[in-house]
Amino acid sequence: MLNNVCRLGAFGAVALSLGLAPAAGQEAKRPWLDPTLLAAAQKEGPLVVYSSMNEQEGLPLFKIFTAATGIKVDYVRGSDTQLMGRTAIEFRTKLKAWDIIQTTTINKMPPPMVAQIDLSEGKALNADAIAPDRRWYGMYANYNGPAYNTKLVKPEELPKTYEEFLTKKQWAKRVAIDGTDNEWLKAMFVHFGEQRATELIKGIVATLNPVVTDGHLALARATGAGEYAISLNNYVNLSMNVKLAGGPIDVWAMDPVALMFGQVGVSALAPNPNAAKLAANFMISQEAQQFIAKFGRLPTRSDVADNPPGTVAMLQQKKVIPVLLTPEEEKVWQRRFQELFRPR
Amino acid sequence: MSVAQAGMESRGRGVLARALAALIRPRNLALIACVLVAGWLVFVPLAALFYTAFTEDTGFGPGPASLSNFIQAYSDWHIVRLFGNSLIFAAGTAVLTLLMGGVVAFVVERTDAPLGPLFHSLALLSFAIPGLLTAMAWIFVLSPNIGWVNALMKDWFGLSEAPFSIYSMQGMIWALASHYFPLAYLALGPALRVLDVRLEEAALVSGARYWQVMPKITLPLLRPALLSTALLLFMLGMSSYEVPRLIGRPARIDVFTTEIQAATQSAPPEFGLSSALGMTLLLICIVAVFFYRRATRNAEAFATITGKGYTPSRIKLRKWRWPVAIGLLFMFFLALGLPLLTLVWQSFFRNLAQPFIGSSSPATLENYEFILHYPVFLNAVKTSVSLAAMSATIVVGLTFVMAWIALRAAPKSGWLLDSIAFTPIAMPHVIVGAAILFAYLMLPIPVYNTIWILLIAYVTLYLPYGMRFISGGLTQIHKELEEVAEVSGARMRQIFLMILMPLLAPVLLAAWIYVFVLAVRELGASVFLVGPGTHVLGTISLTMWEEGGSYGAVSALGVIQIIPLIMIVAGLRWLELRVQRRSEAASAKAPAAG
Repeated sequence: MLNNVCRLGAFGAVALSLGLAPAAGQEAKRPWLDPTLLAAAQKEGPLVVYSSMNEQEGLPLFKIFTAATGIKVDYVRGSDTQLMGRTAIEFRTKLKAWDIIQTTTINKMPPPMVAQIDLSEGKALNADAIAPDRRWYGMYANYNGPAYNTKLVKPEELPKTYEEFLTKKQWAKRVAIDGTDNEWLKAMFVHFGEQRATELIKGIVATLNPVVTDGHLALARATGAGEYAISLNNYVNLSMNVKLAGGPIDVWAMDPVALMFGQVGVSALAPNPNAAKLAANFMISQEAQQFIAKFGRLPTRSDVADNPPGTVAMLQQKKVIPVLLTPEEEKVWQRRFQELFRPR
Repeated sequence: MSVAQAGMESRGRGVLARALAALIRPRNLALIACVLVAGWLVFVPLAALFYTAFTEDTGFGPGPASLSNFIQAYSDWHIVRLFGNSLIFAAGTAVLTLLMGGVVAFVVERTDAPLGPLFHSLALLSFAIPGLLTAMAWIFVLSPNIGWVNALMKDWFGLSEAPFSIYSMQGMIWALASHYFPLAYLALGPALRVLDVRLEEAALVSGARYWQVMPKITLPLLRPALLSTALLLFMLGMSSYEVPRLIGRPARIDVFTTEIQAATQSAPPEFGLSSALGMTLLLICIVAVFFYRRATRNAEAFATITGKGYTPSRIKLRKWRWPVAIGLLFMFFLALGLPLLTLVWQSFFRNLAQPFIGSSSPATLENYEFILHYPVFLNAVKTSVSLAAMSATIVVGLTFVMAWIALRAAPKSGWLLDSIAFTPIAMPHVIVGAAILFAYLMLPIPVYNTIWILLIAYVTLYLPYGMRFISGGLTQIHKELEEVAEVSGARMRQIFLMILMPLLAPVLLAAWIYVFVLAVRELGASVFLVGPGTHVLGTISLTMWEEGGSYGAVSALGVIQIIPLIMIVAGLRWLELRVQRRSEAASAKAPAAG
């Protein structure tokens, strides 16, 4: 019996030293690893992550977190809207189901579901990438911009302004846009003003008869495949994703560039609130952003290089308009999008 | 109290006691249990559908009672176009699918044309391909811009325009029919197999020609199976989502499901609106079941398996044996070969590659490596296969009993049971998933984040398929067989195990296979119900589609999914053949003994 207790004690000491010593040693290298938070987090259970990021990126990312903290992670992947639906149902039953969430739609979730938090790594983020109420922090930047198939369109043929699309009749029915690009539409209205934006988009629809598609990656792939010559708008990181995979696609920038964020937030009912805060701090850290930049995600920190290099600089030469829609605004802009692009 | 009154009361109590005693007999308890389980399974999502439809949609879920969802859903003339498009799409798909599946079933089951086992295996293979991938493959084949068949035709015949466009109503119908025709074959095959050819032979002996026998004897005898299959196909067309999403939306052909899905995929999801739209599907479903029951109300008229024994025999095609087989092979090449070839080809390239046209990049196995090393892939395969096997077994067992009750024990109110079991087909899978999640979080049943919550969802979703397969098959078995057994002292268990099960074995097996294949690739409900450690293949396919997978990776995932299904289906086919041979041997002995 005594032997067992001794063995357990020794095992505990080794585990503790393995768990804490590297963290203490790496504190300088890992500024996100707050020792006080870590100590509290290690007393909690496994961290439950809801994320729209695919497992190929998400699981190795959280492996880094587990290696640094010793905290086990349960990873559940779903699309943005599925996670919104699921979390709403769980919140209604007051279930302490998840700790952190990573999607592009936390700003559209009812505020009581997400905790207000202060993250030390937030200081390194671009100012736009933090929610005014501190309910979410931008993990990667989701710039909106057009893309073209490099086999079907020559760079010199590309319009320099949206108005120039009105002269490109030859691209009729070869231009596509995702049916949910409400943020892009709002940025167009903010930039051009109500009347000019309406006329401009009606003109583009009349000239190009754009195909309205379903899914941003599907649109990027289809443009890379030549199904469409031009994506009138898409998420730049997804067009880049297809380009990095060898697809004949490239992006260019025009005024305005709508900007959204891949966000991270902590549940108001988090079963492991300290681990959740620690993980959220990790996700906006230089280490995490460098890791996801390998997959073409554009950083929200100036100390992380973008991939392919120069993408962010190219986009930031234009008028960048951050757009964050509330659920009510989302409905209004979706209706407007339908009226303009898919008149009934 | 008078003596007469006391006597009446005592008699009344006696009747009640006898009724109660009858009710608590093991046989009746088992039947009641089956109905209660099925009723509960359907009640949960149905209640959620009504509740969310008739309440205000708030950020956290349903709010106070309201008709706002219906006003939003039905106050625009657009709904009329949705309705029209959905009807044309579903009816067109049902007709074409029934035709294609019917031809295969007739040739394989009723003629001596060669290659029957090959056609059977190919048919099963066809719906093993996930719907999303079939739709994607048809775009690669018949898109006016990137379709390789169009490119070849333009090249060979010097055409300036692509001769085909998948982005049309005809294209949508073809894409879905090519995916579902094996279902029609699976459903009609067993009915044709057990058809009593003596009725046809009698007509032929009396001077009728075969072209007269077909519409006047064969088709009327097959009416329950034909209508049952047509009903299933029509509802599948109404509730299908992948083809309308990938092909219909770019072509601006919106149907109910695209609108429902758009509502569930908005941020935040509008479950109230999608439920209100789903009500139309539900109504169509109930009306369709009602008419089906009316059309087959004289069940005995369609029974071809009676106590008098039957000997299925095949039509001799003589010199037409091979031409018929080659014609069928060509149909399989068009419906299955083209998309499958495209998928397999694409799986060796990362970006779009057109068969026979060439690709700028060399072929590679990296897509397969990517999928096989995908972090949760192997766990997902294990979970999906075990869930599918469990769901198929439970669905077949439950619907076997339910179909029997609906047709034999309570034929007058059977349509109600039939409708209950058929209702889930009209409910979008995402709604079922959300409803089940909500219900089981509220109830003290600890299934959250386990595979059991997925099993509950799958059994609910696939009850309609089991019911349609089995009630179609059961209608063809005359109840005199059971009556004779009962008179001879057989118990209910013996009637089920020794009479109905052997006779229905081909139908039960066909239903099992179909539910198994559908469950392996289920997606809509799973997205709400998977938890840490309970990943399924459907959710991985979705991740590949919407979060980082290339065309090559998506295709490789499809091909990898097909391989284990082929093995399982081959094993089941072997079993099916054994069952078939045994029942043929038994029926051959029966007349001899008689």
